[in-house]
Amino acid sequence: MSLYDYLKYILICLVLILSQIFVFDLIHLDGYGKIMPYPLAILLLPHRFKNAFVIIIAFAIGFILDFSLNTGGLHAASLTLLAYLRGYLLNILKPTTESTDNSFISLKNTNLGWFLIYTFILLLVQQFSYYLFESFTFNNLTFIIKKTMVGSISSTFIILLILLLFKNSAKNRN
Amino acid sequence: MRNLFYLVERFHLIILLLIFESVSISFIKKFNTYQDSVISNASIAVSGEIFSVRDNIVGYFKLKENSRQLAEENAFLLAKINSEHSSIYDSISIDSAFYRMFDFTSAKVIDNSITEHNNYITINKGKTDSIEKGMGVIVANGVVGIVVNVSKNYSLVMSVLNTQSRVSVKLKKSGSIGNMVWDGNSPWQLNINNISKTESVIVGDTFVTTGYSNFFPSDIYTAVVKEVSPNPATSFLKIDAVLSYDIDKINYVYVVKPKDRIQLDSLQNSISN
Repeated sequence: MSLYDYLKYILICLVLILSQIFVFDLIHLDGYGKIMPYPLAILLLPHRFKNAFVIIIAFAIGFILDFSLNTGGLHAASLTLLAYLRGYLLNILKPTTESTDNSFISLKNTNLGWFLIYTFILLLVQQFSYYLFESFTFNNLTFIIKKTMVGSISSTFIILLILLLFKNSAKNRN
Repeated sequence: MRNLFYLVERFHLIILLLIFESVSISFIKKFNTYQDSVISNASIAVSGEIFSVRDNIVGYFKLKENSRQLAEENAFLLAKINSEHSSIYDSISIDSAFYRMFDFTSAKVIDNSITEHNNYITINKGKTDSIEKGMGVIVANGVVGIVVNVSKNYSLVMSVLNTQSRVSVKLKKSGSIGNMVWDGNSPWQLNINNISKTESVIVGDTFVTTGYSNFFPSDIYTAVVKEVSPNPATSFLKIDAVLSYDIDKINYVYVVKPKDRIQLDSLQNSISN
């Protein structure tokens, strides 16, 4: 990764955090879930990126969101868990091409099906742990699962839209 | 010693995860008493500023809805004043009838959540507007919650959609008293406990506040009965109710300030001691 890539990454993180605060946090889906596309900042990191740094970045992003949305430590806890499990999932679901080793994982260098499975599994973990930490009880498990499903499907959809939007602009530049 | 380093190196990811998880879980609201948490106070101040910036931008999209709500509220209050005046004027002496136990301060909702298990609302009035912990928050036709934490310009309200919230309500037609609680599932369904099976409750009956606590004035509309069934395990009815207003769309709320709060508190303390 070059300096340009790092700058681009910081910009992407900022945009995702701001979009969560100013747009997606206001959408309640009638009480049936929350759209949280910001884990994309963790999902697109290169395959060979040091896992310890992934966890630290996740904690930092989560902490910024928690402090600005006054949610205690919920975003940080769930995003850190996602970052930890990402390393294991990448070992199981090997990306289809070698080009993801040192550049961002995106639709350009993987195929759509692989990317959807990878995103959806990690978002399920993140959303489920978010609601579980929030309620800290198993009493409402069915409703938590309902919220997790609605939230992860809609967040995966939004992430896909974001990537499709920026896929073309990246191509034009190259 | 070398083995220790080796162990740390071998398990550095799980150690990192455990440290970060324990830090963030310890910040979660549920485990913090709001009375003495410094972090949550700082967080309200920061998030309050962010929410009000957001509200400045997004607020324009809600203007139509806002004015519709305010007009409805006016109509509701006009009807209430009319019906009350006619009964007051003839028998009760003016003095006691017009003595107000509460003052109301209007505030704008700048953040509202309904998707969580413990929902909180942020409003744009704080210590400078002499808002204190423990004050009730209402809209004209419903109960919103109780102020749980106050910063200089913003306050955090525990919404009725919070599993720790408990509002004492009475059946409007007969006056029998129960508790309104939320189980943390659908925001369109609350439960009312402690209403005896001998009571005849039908779908569409309304519950109002009792006024026994000094959080809320009496006779504020609270909930409408959606479903009633006898609870076989106890001698009470199982009542599902829905809030009397759309909590997802509230814009302006009123903070209830009891006028004789110090007097009432000292009286209650002297009884309990």
